[in-house]
Amino acid sequence: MLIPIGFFGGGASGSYELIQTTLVSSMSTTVTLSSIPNTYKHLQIRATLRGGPATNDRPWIQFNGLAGQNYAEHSMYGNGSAVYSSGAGNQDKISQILIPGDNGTALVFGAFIIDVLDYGNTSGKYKIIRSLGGSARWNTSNEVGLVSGLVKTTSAINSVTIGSVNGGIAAGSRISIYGIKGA
Amino acid sequence: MSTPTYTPLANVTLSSSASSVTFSSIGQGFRDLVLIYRGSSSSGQIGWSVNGQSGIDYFMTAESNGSSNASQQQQQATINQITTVSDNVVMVMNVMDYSATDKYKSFLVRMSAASALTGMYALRSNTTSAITSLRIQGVTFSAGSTFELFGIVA
Repeated sequence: MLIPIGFFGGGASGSYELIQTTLVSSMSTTVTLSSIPNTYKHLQIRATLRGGPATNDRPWIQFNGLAGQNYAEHSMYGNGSAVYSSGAGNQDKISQILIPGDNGTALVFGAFIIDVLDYGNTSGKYKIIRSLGGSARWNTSNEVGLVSGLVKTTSAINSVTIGSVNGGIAAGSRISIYGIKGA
Repeated sequence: MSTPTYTPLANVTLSSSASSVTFSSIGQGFRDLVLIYRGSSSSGQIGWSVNGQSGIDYFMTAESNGSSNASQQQQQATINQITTVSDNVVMVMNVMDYSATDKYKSFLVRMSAASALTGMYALRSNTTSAITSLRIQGVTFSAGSTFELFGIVA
């Protein structure tokens, strides 16, 4: 069945709004999206990423510039051979699923969708994130998986920083952050 | 008035069974596409193709059927690799940066079939062309199955 676009389409009301998009033009040590307004209920980060100068890389995420032992994470992922899980507390960042590094196959990026739930709450709650990420390559280290993360801050989230183990986010990477309105 | 950001592009309910569903003439005014399939089909594996092209594509899978887990990675033409079952299926397929011409196209997929399996998939179409058509194939989709396509602005 062939469905031509436009026949059924229409505009939606603004309950899911773009806050910022960053297109990385050259290798950057980290990418920060800041000044996130506290006018939404949840955030969603949608990204295509390529890492630092290596074949593979593992991105990480921090919030509000917070480091120290202020994060916990659990992941479940497949690597092409088996399904694994891992977890860690008292981290200084939340690790994400493996992606191509900038020395890997050209034009290949990893993809991520990261939900930051109740990000603006200042009533004593730590913040929760969940993500789906991965990349599809052949004959190299590769993952697709889910990550759950805890951010030990009761402050509203106002900035997001993404970096990588190998120290870079490559040109062509894109990070968009959206706000989802509450009722 | 806010600008629509998550925009419905197509919404179809099959009036009769179909071996594939193709969304064509997809405009380039968005950043990502989201396809939501809900319904039933013959059991098997769902596949995809873009822009009517055939060629080598790539996938990475992780699936659990309640008693075992499995993960595969592969490169091959005509990929049908998203396991589905006959009923009560929801698949959400995110096509990331579909209009970009500086990268191959990445997909993130979640498959939920509560009676049988859950799965997550990373897919890649090896084209730097903007995606103008998206085809879902591989099984016989039953009448009553729905396919919704959304565009996300960036």
